[in-house]
Amino acid sequence: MNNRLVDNTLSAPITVTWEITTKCNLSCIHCLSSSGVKLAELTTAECFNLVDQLAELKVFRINFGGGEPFIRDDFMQLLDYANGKGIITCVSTNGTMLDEKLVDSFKKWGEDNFFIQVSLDGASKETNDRIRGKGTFEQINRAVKLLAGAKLEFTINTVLTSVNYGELMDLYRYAEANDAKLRVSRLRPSGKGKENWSRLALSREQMENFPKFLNAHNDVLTGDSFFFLTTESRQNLGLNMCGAAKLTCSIAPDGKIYPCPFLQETEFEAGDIRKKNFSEIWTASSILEMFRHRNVDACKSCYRLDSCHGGCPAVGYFVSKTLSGPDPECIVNRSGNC
Amino acid sequence: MDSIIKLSPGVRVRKEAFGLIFYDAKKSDITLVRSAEVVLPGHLDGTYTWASLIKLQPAEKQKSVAQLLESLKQKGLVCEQPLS
Repeated sequence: MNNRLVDNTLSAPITVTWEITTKCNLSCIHCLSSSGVKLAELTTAECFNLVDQLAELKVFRINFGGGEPFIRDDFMQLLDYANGKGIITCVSTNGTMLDEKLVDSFKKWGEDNFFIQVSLDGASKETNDRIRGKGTFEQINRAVKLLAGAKLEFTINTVLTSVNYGELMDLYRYAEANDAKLRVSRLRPSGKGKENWSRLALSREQMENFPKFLNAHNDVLTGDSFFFLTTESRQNLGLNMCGAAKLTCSIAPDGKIYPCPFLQETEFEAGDIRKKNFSEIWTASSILEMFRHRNVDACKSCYRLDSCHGGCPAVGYFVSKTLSGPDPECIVNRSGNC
Repeated sequence: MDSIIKLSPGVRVRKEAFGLIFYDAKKSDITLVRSAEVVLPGHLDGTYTWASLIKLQPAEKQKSVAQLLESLKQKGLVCEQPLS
């Protein structure tokens, strides 16, 4: 996709990622959100009001994450409300709170309007539990069986790390065996991922070999994670650029708005929905405006700039402390390599 | 034979300054269309037939609108529903 049309502000984001809570019953070592940090989370009424605003702006989809979204007592109510307003919803869950009754209740929204992804970080108990915590493989496996048994379309999401890289093919087979799609997400150095970056980040060799796996498995989803190494043959499989501030933004549990979930730092706070309405923040925030016109100076002469648009600014920022450098894990432009 | 034209399941559309933006939820993919003012989201809500939507346009634009609708159909963003 050419990004010229979306460089100028869209009337609203296409999707928003809404971290609905920081509360979580797990403590994964790569968690983007530093789950467990206490914030004054939006009340049910405030959430409904925000959904009303997003519906009015015709935001197409809300991706709910956390923390563990189902930990909030009002979460199903909120999903119902958003779906009732015609907004597509997607939930990222650790799966531990799913039961037969809950899974059955997802069907009411229809397969085109509701999506769910379950996090799994290893095809073996040993590997997954090393990342997500002891006993979680069994719990996640139970959730996967419930979703598969209910004939719901769902995705298994794996954050690719040096720990689970060797099980990528087994994860693919596991998803396939359970009628699910595998989504591979990129490790970002934010939240606990920042603390554990050095031991979890892929090696250069793994990063260079990963595109071969992707090219051989076109049904593996990557979302917007890996555009810095996405080959031309996968360009039409989804977004091929960082959508932060152009196509999407992130809503924190306390109603603060950021360009993306991986840049929830005070200096990137674009606004607070407790103080301003969402539309005003989206159209007038100087932070979001800066991201829309971010110049990746170090990539200007790179032949792949039109394909990757400079990669992930969040990784660049946390590793190199600059937004104008190349993606530090880029396998083409190595000037910013970590 | 004429048929109703409407958004495919899981597809949403809205108007932007440059035209239309489609979102395909299953593919997590967007399509940007410079449609000026000729095709609007309301035209794709299932109230128009293929032929009636084209006839709505000025004569000089009917051919290009027909091509646009055909292209949206090829991309799976709109579909046809037989008249009951």
